Amino acid sequence: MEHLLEVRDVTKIYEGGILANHNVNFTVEKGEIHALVGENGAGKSTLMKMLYGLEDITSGHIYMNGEELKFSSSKDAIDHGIGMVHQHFMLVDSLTGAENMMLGLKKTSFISNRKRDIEITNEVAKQYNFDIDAGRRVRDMSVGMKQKLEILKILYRSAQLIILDEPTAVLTPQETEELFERFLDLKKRGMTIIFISHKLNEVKRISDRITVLKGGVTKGTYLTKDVSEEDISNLMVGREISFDYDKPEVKPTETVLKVSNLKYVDKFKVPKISGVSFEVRRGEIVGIAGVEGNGQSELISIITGNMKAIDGQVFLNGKDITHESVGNIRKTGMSHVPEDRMIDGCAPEMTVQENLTVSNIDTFSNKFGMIQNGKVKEFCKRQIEEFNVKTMDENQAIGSLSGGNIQKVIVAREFKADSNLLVLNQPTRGVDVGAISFIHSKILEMRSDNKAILLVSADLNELISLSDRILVMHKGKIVGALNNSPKVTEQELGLYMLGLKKQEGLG
Amino acid sequence: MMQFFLSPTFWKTVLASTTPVMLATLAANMMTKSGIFNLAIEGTMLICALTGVVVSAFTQNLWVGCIVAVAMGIAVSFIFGYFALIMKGAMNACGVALNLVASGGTVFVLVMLTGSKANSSALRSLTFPVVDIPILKDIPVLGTIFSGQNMVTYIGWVIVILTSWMLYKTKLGINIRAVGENPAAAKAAGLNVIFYQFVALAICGVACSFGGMYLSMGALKSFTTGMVAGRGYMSLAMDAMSQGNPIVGCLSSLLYGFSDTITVYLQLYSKIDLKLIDAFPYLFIIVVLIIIQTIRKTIAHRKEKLASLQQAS
Ligand SMILES: Nc1ncnc2c1ncn2[C@@H]1O[C@H](COP(=O)(O)OP(=O)(O)OP(=O)(O)O)[C@@H](O)[C@H]1O
Ligand SMILES: [Mg+2]
Repeated sequence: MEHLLEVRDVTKIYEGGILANHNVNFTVEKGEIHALVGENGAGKSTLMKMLYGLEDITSGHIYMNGEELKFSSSKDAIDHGIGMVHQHFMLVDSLTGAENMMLGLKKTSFISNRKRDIEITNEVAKQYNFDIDAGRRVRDMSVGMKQKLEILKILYRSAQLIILDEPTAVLTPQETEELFERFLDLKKRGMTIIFISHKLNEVKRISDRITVLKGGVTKGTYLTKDVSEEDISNLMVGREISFDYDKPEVKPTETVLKVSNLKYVDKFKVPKISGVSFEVRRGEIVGIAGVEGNGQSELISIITGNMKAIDGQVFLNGKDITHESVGNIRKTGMSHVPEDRMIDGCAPEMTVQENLTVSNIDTFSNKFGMIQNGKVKEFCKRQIEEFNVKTMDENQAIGSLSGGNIQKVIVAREFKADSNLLVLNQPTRGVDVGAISFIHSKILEMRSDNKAILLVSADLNELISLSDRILVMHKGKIVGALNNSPKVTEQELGLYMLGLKKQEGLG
Repeated sequence: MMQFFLSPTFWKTVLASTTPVMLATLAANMMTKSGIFNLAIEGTMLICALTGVVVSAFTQNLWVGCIVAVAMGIAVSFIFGYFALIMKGAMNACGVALNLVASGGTVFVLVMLTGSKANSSALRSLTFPVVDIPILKDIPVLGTIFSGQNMVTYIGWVIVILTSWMLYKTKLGINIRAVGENPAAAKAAGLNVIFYQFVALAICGVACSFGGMYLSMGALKSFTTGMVAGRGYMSLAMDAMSQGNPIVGCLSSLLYGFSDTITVYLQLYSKIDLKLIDAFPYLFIIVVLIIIQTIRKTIAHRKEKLASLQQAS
């Protein structure tokens, strides 16, 4: 039988000599959902970019329906019925959903027709049961809607082979579930999907076969029904990973962060936060749970100084920081791992070294105020080693690292800043299982070091296994403050998150 | 002394002296929208101003001169594109280099052809005619202001309108904006990024060439060394103010035309020191920029206040 897609002995060496793929082999059959898993930097995205014509192949061959593919740009891939959703969004923010939909299409007329574009987009969305607002500008869309738009874009280009590079990393469990329904639907229609994810339960749930990549080489392809999650994680990292941590006993002491009666209204005049109050003390991890869009991102933006509240106060170490600049807030003692690493977390064109030291570069200067390069280098080398960042050296541009490795650099920078408060917004998004357990152990280390930690995560497992207390947000209010010992269950959290259960008397 | 504000001829002059800056601003708008930083607008205008004069003088045909100057504008922009986009040179360095070539090169050619370092009055070059618009010219005030402008001014208006229509209403324009805003996304959608940037450069070249020709074949009847006199740089400020939108850009450049004209009138009618008066347009623009920015902020602030009030109620 002929395969839909066959990758034979494909090798990719980036300029600068980074070997990302080494003699990779795998095949994809028509109509299957094929999962691709592997650690951060294993070369998954690289392989997919070659399939999609965004990167050249250094050596090797790719065949589709028996015919060898030689792409010079993604246009060729699109013409061959291949579509790709990238790890980081590929949308033009100031254009509307419909305009993004039509971008680069040949079949549209020269003069753009707004109304018709929106109609077509809505029609396609309806056909596949997607729910998006086609007339809205992308910059005003939620991540979930953006992700759906990305997929619709591909479907509209009548792709037969769909590549999805970590499509669920930015989605809530509910959105993921919805998306999976759509995938199964697409599969029924005879489409083929290659799916990349670090969430092994998702892989297990949705895929037919799994290919494991490790260090740029294929470790093998397995039938999903034959392997368990533990088997997969074993194949990926070579050891078993468990998220059951032994948390040492730490007595929380004085209050570091105090939020009182915070309020915020967004530009569509929708109240996003309606009177939120809570405290975070030294030596405790406070988790914030909630279905995306219930005010968590706004709350974090306000606490970190990126947005201004319309009412209420934020105190850090006893100082009112409600109206301070981000720079001053950091100096007062706050570290922040932001939700969107490419936009708020790093300067992609700059080197790993510059990104690692941007916030503490002053500490490397001598008494004349000159930066001592040797010290900077040594510091960076130590962080790269400690956090196991896969990079050529400290001078590689951070944007050319794999997604998970970029995240590790940001985490390293923030954890080394020696602040009293760590605000962690989705700290392990897009990070492989091995690295997740490493970052988790670092977070617990920070807790033992008597830091106050505020953790926001869409991953309930993560929240439950790390937090000492969990606050649940619903419609801009805290509806539950749960003591996490003994551990609360996901079901319990779910009830609060959906607003089915409420505690009275919370801010 | 300020009654000249009321005279239609004053406003007519405003429109006239706006023309070159308006075209340069349009060129800058195109660059911003396509994600290019092109400092060479100044130099491109200068080269085109000379090209138009020389070719029209030698062929004694205005249109041949015009077409060759436009081709020259596109060519110079493409040279910039070659170095900045294909060879990936630093954009600001490429821009400065072209400007230096332009200011030195034009003098060199001028001396070769006329023997003069200062101007081209030895050449019998042609100029664009003044155009009277039929019915409009007979309407009192409006006729004086809007009719009887140089042909390049009208061409400029047409170019501005066509370009903004193109940018916002056509597929080409959407593609150019997509390429400028997020090249990676444009590439992933199958667009050829460099191609669209060169289209933008071509439009930039056309706008620069008319801007240059207006100076040497419209406002004046010959080429003078360094006659662009910072208008190309001014356009970068106008562009920043209009955030890339050509219609707003056109209106912002009116500001320059206005202050430039006032300067001329002040020189005629007041006893203030000439040097001080020369600084006026720039001071004026800075002040206006501050005012506009303040207004923008207040409006944004009001909106926030309003929203919070509504929530409270
Ligand atoms: N543009 C680039 N230039 C140089 N090296 C690169 C570039 N892009 C990726 N690499 C390197 O290639 C290797 C593989 O990266 P890739 O993005 O394919 O990993 P990945 O498996 O997708 O990881 P993740 O799960 O973290 O997204 C990494 O070591 C990375 O640093
Ligand atoms: Mg990747």
